[in-house]
Amino acid sequence: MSAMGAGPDHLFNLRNNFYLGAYQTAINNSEIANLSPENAVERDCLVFRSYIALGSYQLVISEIDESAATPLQAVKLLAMYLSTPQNKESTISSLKEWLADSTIGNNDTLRLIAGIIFMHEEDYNETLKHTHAGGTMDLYALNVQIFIKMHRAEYAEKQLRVMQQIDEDHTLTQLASAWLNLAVGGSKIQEAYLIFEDFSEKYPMTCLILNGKAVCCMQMGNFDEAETLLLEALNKDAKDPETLANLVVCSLHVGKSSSRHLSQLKLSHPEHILVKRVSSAEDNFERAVQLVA
Amino acid sequence: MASMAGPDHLFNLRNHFYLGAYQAAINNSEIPNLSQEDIVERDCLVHRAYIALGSYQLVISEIDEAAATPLQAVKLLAMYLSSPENKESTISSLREWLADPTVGNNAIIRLIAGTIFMHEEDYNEALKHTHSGGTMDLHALNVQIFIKMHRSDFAEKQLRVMQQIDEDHTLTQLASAWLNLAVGGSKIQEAYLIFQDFSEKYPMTSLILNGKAVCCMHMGNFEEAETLLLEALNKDAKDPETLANLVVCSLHVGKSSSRYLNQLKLSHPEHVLVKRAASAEDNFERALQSFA
Repeated sequence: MSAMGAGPDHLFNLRNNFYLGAYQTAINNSEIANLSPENAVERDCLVFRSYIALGSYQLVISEIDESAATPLQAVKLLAMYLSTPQNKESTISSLKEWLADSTIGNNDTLRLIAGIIFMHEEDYNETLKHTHAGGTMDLYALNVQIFIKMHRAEYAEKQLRVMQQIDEDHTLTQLASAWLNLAVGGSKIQEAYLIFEDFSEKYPMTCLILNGKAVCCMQMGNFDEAETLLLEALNKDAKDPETLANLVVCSLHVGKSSSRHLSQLKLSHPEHILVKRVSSAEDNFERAVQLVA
Repeated sequence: MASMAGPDHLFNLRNHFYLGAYQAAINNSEIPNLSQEDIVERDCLVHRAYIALGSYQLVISEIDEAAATPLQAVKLLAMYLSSPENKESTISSLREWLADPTVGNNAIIRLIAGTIFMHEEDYNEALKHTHSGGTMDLHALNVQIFIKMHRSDFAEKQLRVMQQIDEDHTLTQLASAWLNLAVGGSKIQEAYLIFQDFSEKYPMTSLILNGKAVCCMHMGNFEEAETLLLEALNKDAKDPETLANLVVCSLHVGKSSSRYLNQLKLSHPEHVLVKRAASAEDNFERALQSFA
């Protein structure tokens, strides 16, 4: 019989909490004994990325100092990028320098952060330059997201197959599968719904899971159920931009006013794609009115 | 037999608000067949819930000049809290309204005045507008003010008034718990039981969890307190009271409190614990200088 597999994965629960959007739970349960130095760095990266997801950018910036490991420096860079619009250019400049440095440029976490930042910038070609080689489940999952953003479901599917070959039951494989099913649409929506349903039975409910289920419901025309799920998500985080954006859409379909949700989204996340699209549509309408006047 | 008053359509909404379930209050605020008076009260509660969630600008933008006096008062609170620059002009407007005999006696204006002056730590000014009571909210605010002034004897008198009006009212129960915590000793257990009762009847909120946790800390059960506070942090990762209580609790269980204090400093630099910590650091620095 072959030798036993690798030892227990001490970070399994921490990763799962992070992937499924249970950020505070990830932070609360991050004190894990007997971690190797490598695992300790990964743990710290997940904790700080959780703080970033909760919007605590300054905390991350202040806690990660110059002597921290490269992956942590990369996470700090993400916090700096997201913290203020003024930081973006200098952060991207630093990022490009690091990526060009042969000693650290190939670090998985650095490549992941590069992918996230360039995806925020909507520079998908630049993103793929650093992520396409994969190497970790996080990078493959990010590639799936990027290809979906580029409306290239066929490439996303190839990435998903790679993930399924590595570990079909991995949380990120399941999530990526749900994202792709949502992008493809049609009969695949039901499959996506079942994945989120499975998550909601196995793990505590999070905004991410509730929004996933709600989007599936909307695609299937069940707007009342979607609204219930989204209001439950809003109970968990009253300012979550995806919940607010989905509620704007859902409210219109159930014949309710969406103005308050849109107003909240505009005030708390003025850079959100839905806000930009709405203001663009308003501008176009104004211009059309001017022409007719 | 005297005819009973009609059903209280806003009962659940008020309860959600009092117990800190702010988003639940907002989500369940579409109530049919409300009288005009109830509609104004409903809107006040909804906008105060948004204020509690930190959505000041939403409230400011939604309440226009034509809105009823109570809503204008709520807007004033949002303006006061939204930025430090607004404080002086807001307080100036508030004083004008309070001096106006046509609106100055409105219960909501007095409540907002009490809230704002309590924020300013000007307790005498707060009491000037709240002491005559008239609503459960005002009596409860009086209890809070007297506790802040370390006058639990006066707080107890206010609580008795509330108990005479409605012993089972959520605010009466809350005020009783606050007073028990302030008095301490054997009263802590009574406060704990009130929060325990809330947690069995209603969905858990940061307010209830913090209440239970503070009772636990008073009774020396720091491990249980920490568990409750971490659960509260799961519900709201930036709640200042949870972070402040975790700073204290962590020190007692022998864990580092620096991250919680750091978070509190960054998200709520005006919090009393942050100010006290900064003041203590300054005093320590000065003491060091005198020895140097």
